[in-house]
Amino acid sequence: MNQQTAPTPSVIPAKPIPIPSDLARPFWVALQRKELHLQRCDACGFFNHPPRISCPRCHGHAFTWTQVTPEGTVYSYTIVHRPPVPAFKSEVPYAVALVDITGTNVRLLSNLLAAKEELRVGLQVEIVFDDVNQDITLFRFKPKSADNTAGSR
Amino acid sequence: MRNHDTGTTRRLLESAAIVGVYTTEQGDLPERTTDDLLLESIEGALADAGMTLDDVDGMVGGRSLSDSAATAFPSYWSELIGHPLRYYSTVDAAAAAHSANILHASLAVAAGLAETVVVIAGGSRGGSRQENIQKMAYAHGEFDVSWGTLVPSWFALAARRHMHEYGTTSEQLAEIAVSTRAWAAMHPQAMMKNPLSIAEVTGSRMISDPLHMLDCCLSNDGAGAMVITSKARAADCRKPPVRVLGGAEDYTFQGYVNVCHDWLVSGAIHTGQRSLEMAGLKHDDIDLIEIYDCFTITVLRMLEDLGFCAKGEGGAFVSDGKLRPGGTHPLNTHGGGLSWGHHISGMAHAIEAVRQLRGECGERQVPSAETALVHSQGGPLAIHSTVILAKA
Repeated sequence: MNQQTAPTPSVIPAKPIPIPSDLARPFWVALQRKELHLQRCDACGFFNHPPRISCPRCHGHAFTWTQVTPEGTVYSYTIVHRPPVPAFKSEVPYAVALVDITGTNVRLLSNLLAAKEELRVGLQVEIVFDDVNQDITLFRFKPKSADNTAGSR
Repeated sequence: MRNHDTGTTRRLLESAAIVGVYTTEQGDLPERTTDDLLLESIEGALADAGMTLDDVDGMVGGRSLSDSAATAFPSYWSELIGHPLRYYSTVDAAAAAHSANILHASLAVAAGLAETVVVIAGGSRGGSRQENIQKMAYAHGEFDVSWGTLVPSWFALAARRHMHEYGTTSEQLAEIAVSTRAWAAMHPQAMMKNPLSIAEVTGSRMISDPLHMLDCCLSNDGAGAMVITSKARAADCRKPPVRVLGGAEDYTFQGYVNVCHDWLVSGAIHTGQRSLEMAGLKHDDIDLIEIYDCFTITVLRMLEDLGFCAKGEGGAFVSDGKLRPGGTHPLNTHGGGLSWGHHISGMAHAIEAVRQLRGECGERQVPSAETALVHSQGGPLAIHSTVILAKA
């Protein structure tokens, strides 16, 4: 059906920015310092992401925010050709990956800043920090430098 | 120890039956509201059963996402139909809700909480489609909101990992879109009926690699309803009753895709096994498979997890055409979310199962269909419900 009545937006809405929850605030604050911190269960060592009020593995209630190595391994990836909202239109195609963070049980989702030919499951990546505004720093992935130089697959 | 006995539920289910179903037109219906689409469905399903609004004393289902928050509330409907309802419930589990709603409605009738329950689904998307997607994209939560991803990307991640692990191909996924379209061609209400080839699917616009446009379900307006009543009352209804032989639910994780650690198995393993056990049936006893199909990969993954083939063999399993009309495993015989219409998600699949078991499907009728497995799935393969339906 023809949506003739829909007004053409003159300004494309900005990209969605995370609104930190109270529980996850230490995660976002650490990113501003260019560090990756995850919520870790004091009793069993399980990392929670998203952070939780109780550990699903041992049901413990005590946690410590713990700095971890900001790198990992690609578990899966996709290349977005049709973005969900117009704010991302100028960037297609872009890659998004699920990455297993080294030394943890956590898998994170973010953009993977890599050429299409480089994309593969198992790719070693590191986190780059992106200050999108004064309050929010995002994390994204890029292929690890070592992996690049070793790079002839 | 947790009690895994399925006999108690099975015996309860024996005292309820499905007696009426209805689906409205499906498509872009800007002149229709959620309430009026649902009311048409409720009245239509009751007429199908040979009942009227006066018979209804319970309702199940409904969501308040679109243009009428009131539809989620039981008293909106009791006020509208002019007498009190004594039972209302809804499973807040996105597209996984529908088989669970059918199970809950049947058990409510069996327990005597109501005699005749209408299960509802769908309505209008309200406003513009893009507006709804925007709302969802901006509201998705702090950890998923910034990467330019939404539902198709979640399932693309699942598809990519399956391809990596098992060598599944885009052509194998495409076969699911092709077989579903072949069934849709025989349904008078289906939105998409033109024959489709595998090359057309793999050649369609890429949405989130490896998922193409024709790997994705439609977006539309439309509603549907189902009437469930007591076994005693069912005997007086217009059409032969359909029984619910078994059902199960599994809620594993919420909507952040990073939480799912094993992208190769899902809660459908449990719902499939438990509902079949409850029904006293094996996979070979199932004549008709109805699996909610938001994406082609969803069906492939669910065929594996529900146990119709081994883990990792979904690609090979579907590629010989067994899901197509005339094949050994008729699947989504109304045309599914991929070709019939998506807005009532798994409820459409359950309604089709009822129509098939009654033998009223004309040229798309599966010969002598006596049993059907109906699976609903929500989130990124995160939440599941299954029911087994059978001819009385």
